[in-house]
Amino acid sequence: VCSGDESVASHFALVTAYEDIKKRLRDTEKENTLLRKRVKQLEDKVFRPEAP
Amino acid sequence: METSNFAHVIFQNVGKSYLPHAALECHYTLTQFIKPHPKDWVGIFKVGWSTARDYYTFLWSPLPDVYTEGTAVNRSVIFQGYYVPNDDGEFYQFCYVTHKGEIRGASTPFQFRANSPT
Repeated sequence: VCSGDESVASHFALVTAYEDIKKRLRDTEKENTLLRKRVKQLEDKVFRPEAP
Repeated sequence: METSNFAHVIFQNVGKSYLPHAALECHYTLTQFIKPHPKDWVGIFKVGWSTARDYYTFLWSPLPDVYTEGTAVNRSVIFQGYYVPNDDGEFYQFCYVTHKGEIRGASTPFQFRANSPT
């Protein structure tokens, strides 16, 4: 097998991994935003309770 | 070599992470485009590897008991806990390498992490 093929294979495998990690980063960022919102909501509830 | 050559072996249900020091089961399908050979192997590679010699660990891919050329077969190997990487913050992937050293499949990446869902 010539080293050219191996280099193409190595690049292909790296792209496969990169695309997947990129998607996971997007998902993690989305979850991070949601969790921040949730924390803010809970803090508001605890520290600024609605007037009776 | 066509890009499609790299997808002749498909890794199934690959987790986002695995426990360090725990046995790791790897399931894969040999598509009809690849003829298995007793010296084909499955390696765990750190993402960003440049040659087939960069594997972290490997296992020979078991031949099917019965094989009809031109059909797809499911195979699996189990990497024992003492051979898999530690919780080192790195990403790894499975690759299927033929007896000629050709890469015919690469999995999505995973990490080795304690207390993390897979």
